[in-house]
Amino acid sequence: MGIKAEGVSKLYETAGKRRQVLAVDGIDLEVDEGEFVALVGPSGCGKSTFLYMVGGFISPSSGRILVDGRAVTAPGTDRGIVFQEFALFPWKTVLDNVMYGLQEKGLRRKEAEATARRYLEMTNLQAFERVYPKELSGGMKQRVAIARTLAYDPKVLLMDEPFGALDAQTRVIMQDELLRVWQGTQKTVLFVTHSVEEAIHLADRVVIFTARPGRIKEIVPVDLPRPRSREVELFDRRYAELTSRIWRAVEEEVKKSMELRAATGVAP
Amino acid sequence: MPRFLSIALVFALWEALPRAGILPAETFPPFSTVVATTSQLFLTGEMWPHLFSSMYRWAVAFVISLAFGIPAGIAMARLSAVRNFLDPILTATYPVPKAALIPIIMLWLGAGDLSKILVIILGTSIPLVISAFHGAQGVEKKLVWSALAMGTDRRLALFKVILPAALPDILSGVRMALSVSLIALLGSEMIARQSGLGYLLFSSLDVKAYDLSYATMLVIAIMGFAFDWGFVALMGRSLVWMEREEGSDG
Ligand SMILES: Nc1ncnc2c1ncn2[C@@H]1O[C@H](COP(=O)(O)OP(=O)(O)OP(=O)(O)O)[C@@H](O)[C@H]1O
Ligand SMILES: [Mg+2]
Repeated sequence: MGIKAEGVSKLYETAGKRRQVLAVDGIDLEVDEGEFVALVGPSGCGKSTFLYMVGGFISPSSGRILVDGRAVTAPGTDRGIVFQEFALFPWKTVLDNVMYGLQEKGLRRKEAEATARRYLEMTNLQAFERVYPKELSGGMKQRVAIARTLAYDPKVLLMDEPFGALDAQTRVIMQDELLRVWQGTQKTVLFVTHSVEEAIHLADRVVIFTARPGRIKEIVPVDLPRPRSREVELFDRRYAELTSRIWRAVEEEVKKSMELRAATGVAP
Repeated sequence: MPRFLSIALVFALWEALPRAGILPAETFPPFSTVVATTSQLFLTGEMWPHLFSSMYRWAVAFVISLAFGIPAGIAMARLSAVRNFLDPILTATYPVPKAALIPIIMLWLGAGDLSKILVIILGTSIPLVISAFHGAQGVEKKLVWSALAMGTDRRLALFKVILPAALPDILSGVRMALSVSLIALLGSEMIARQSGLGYLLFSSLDVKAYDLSYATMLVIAIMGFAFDWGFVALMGRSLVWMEREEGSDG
């Protein structure tokens, strides 16, 4: 399932239209079926907002989004999302959280349990299946959220800084697990991250957003062969060039967004 | 500090002060006398019909309040039409002592159980509506989004997400409603006096039968305690997930 955004803008209006925030502005983007695209950009530039529109949770103020050629009007099981804030169901155990999407799909409890356990194993959480989310660390919650979304096997993955709360080692492991799942299932992935290294390691293309209102500043193809080994990345010239190119572009926008914040006194 | 030390202390003072003559024993009989009167009331059977008629009114009113209050509060949070309709009514009626409405309600519904039950419902529903409203209002949007993305029907999300997510607030509202309902019950029985604990309490005061008054108050206090204890015991297991994280307080 491909994704196509045509002139997508989002204007947030709050408190009787007294405050308006243009979060993203005129995004044109085409993501092929099975493609892995990373989104990077300064904090508050509208990356999450864009993801929510693809998910169908909020609608664009103008423009439209097509998934598999059809205009997005509502959330659907074809698009799975991992929220920045995890959004686990606090009244359900880890296992029941991961089973939720499977049971909504109509699987019986036994089957749902078996599948859920596979993903809990993959995210190294098998020892915590009976535990409630409040007892987990941030990184563990994030892994539950990833397992919950992967478990019901959506064709499109919308991931909002899904590894942001993980320690460096776990992060590397999860990146490789994600790549394994992605390569095994031909999912289309939109992946928001703050880490340029992560974006380059994972993605086919890196989309750089400008400071708010978020526009597409640059799209950088990552023409590095897969599987990408971290050892090679350390010494590869092309890798180093890509990193510094994307870094510079993002840094420019981060500076702009800080100036914007200082000038308006508004939080990003 | 041991949990029941405070209550033990109150009982000890209640016993000691009248005995020492610091408080007049006639209007303030010592604790042991009150306990004796109380058990006497139960043994002679005098207490039972009052206890039963109070419990009957309370139970009917409480069940109706739950059935109305919680859905109304959730509807308020989800539908602005309901909110705009109920909010002013709630704000205006909250501070009105519900028992004071009894004489008016009696004009319409007579002096029987119906008026009393209605008064208890009025008092009990308000904390339920408000807590359910706050609970449902505060549900993190992304919880609903997650469920929708996983295929939950938009209408069913009310039961699958909103209700469980609002449950901690709703249940603390229920706990508050338990004590509010007792107050409304006694108030209604005080004003329209036929039977019940409120009747017993206030008519004994009228005839200066203070030991009887204190005995009734003791029964009421035990009821309040039992309600709360029963609530916690009943909910105990199902609430594991919402207990506060260890080390955080407030
Ligand atoms: N519901 C909302 N109402 C009003 N403004 C909003 C709302 N959600 C987001 N915004 C604003 O829109 C802008 C973009 O927010 P968004 O969360 O999409 O940014 P982001 O790129 O995901 O940032 P971060 O990297 O910090 O997660 C911000 O200025 C934010 O304050
Ligand atoms: Mg974000």
